[in-house]
Amino acid sequence: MTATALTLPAEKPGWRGRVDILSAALGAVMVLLALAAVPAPLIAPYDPTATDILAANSGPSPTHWLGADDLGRDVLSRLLYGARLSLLGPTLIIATATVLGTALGIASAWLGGWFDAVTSRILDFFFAFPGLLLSVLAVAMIGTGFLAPVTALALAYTPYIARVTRTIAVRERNLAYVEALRSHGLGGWAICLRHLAPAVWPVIRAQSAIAFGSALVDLAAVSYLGLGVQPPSAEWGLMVAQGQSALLGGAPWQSLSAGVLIIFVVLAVNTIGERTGNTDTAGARA
Amino acid sequence: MRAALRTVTGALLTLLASSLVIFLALAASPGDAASRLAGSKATAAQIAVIRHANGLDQPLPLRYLHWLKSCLHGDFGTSLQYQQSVSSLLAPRVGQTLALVSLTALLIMVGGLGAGIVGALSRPGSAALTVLSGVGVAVPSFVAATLLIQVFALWLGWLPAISTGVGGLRGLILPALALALSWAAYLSQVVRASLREQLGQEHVAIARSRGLSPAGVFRRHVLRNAAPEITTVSGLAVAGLIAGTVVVEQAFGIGGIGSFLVQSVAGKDSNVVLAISLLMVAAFILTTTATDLLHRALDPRIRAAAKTREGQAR
Repeated sequence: MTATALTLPAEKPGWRGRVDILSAALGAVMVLLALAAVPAPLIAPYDPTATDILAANSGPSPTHWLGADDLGRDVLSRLLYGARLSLLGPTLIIATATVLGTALGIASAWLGGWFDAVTSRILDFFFAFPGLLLSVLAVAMIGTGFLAPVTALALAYTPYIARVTRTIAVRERNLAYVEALRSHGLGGWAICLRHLAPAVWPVIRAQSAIAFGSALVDLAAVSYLGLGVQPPSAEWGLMVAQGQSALLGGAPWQSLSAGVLIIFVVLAVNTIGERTGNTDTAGARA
Repeated sequence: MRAALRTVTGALLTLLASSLVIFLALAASPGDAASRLAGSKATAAQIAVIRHANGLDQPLPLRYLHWLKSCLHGDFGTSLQYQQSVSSLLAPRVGQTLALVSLTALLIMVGGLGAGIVGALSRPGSAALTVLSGVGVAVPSFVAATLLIQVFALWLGWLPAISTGVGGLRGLILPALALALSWAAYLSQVVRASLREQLGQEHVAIARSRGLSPAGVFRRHVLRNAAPEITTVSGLAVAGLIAGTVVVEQAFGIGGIGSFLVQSVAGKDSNVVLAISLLMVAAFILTTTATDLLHRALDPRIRAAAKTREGQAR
């Protein structure tokens, strides 16, 4: 890790303390949101599909805190239930991309030669394919739903992680301590798993946090287009889309509250990612 | 020069590989094109005739080569939904999308560069712009679309909420703003960081101490040195827009190729999906390759590095 630590730009004194409080606070809110999503049935005031036709398109009130949608379903309950799909999707995408990307990046750096060349070519190819377009193609192939866009986006985000990993791992591999470990008779697997992977991790963790935000946006966009999860499922991107006709009719609560929630989550993970690891040094030059 | 040639060849190979992946993805999708083309009342024999006439009874590799050859001639086959040639359906829509992309690219460049330069030069501006650009990056285009519709179409009534049937620039302003917001915010962050880095360099201090005008130093030493990085990120932003049009066109009801792609996926119109995916990937690769070449032209260090690398054995 020394190599990357040295290239970090000097931070202003006194900045550090505030940074950590902000990251910790945002992290805590994210954890709370995730915790609220799992036992949503216990917390949510209403069933997410229960309709109260008298309350249709109503604004915030004591009975419906964030109003009700065009079918009279409680927006707050749907946001809480929606957090499950909206947060589970990007979690699956980024977990897959991080594991796959880190493994490919370290293997490329360690093995070099033809493996590196072939992997780089394939990754470059997926890099040249916009994630949203890949998702749309996957939907055309498999059909609408949760699986197609999640698989496509996991593929689209893998090269992003793999490139950064490879850059750092190559730099690390050339350091003297790796040579020393090797001359002590330590095998390639052991060095990769116990030394290269931990060295790469801090930067990858930050990259993954930021990638989580954009994966969430991409996945929500697919749902917004009507190609992802289908009604009556509750999902944030779908809620923005479903609320749009009510918005034009003067009842903006569903679209706006789902939209603001998306912005908040993306802002939170971006902030955490940027503050906990420096992305400019690793990301831009990957 | 040789490196530039390699970039272009690489781009062409990537495009070829993309065409294969797109073709295979659609070939694997469920649904029989021949029976769709024949219509619901067709007999099995009629379907067989149409299948043969369209070459759908041939093995997959042959079909791919045939499709690729027709694409190069501008023939993308027949739409299964509209029973019309795909190119005639695309022609009026490509213009809409191009207009949207151009206006958005202009907004990103003006907004991103402007905000980045202000952020790098003015101290109070910097603090405000750090927060604004941080928030801006986090706003997805479809959320920006609903916010803009709420404010500018419903509250203020300045611009139409739905662009369908609205001619000229009026219908494109809100969509372009929605699409530009997060990219412009991102570009401004990169521009600010890049200019800050250059402003802190010794040679800038020396140029100033020699009494050169601040504007001249900024233009010739700071902006010039930051140009390659700014170009790269701008190019990536424009490339990213191309797929982004899909979402915004759908949000505002613009009849471009993006919203047509969504309709065609929903309607399982595989020939249209093939054609639009290929066009979008081609535009994406064209933009990134052009950016790469421009970056190379702007940064003499890369040219020098490429020359020494070419000297070494590969």
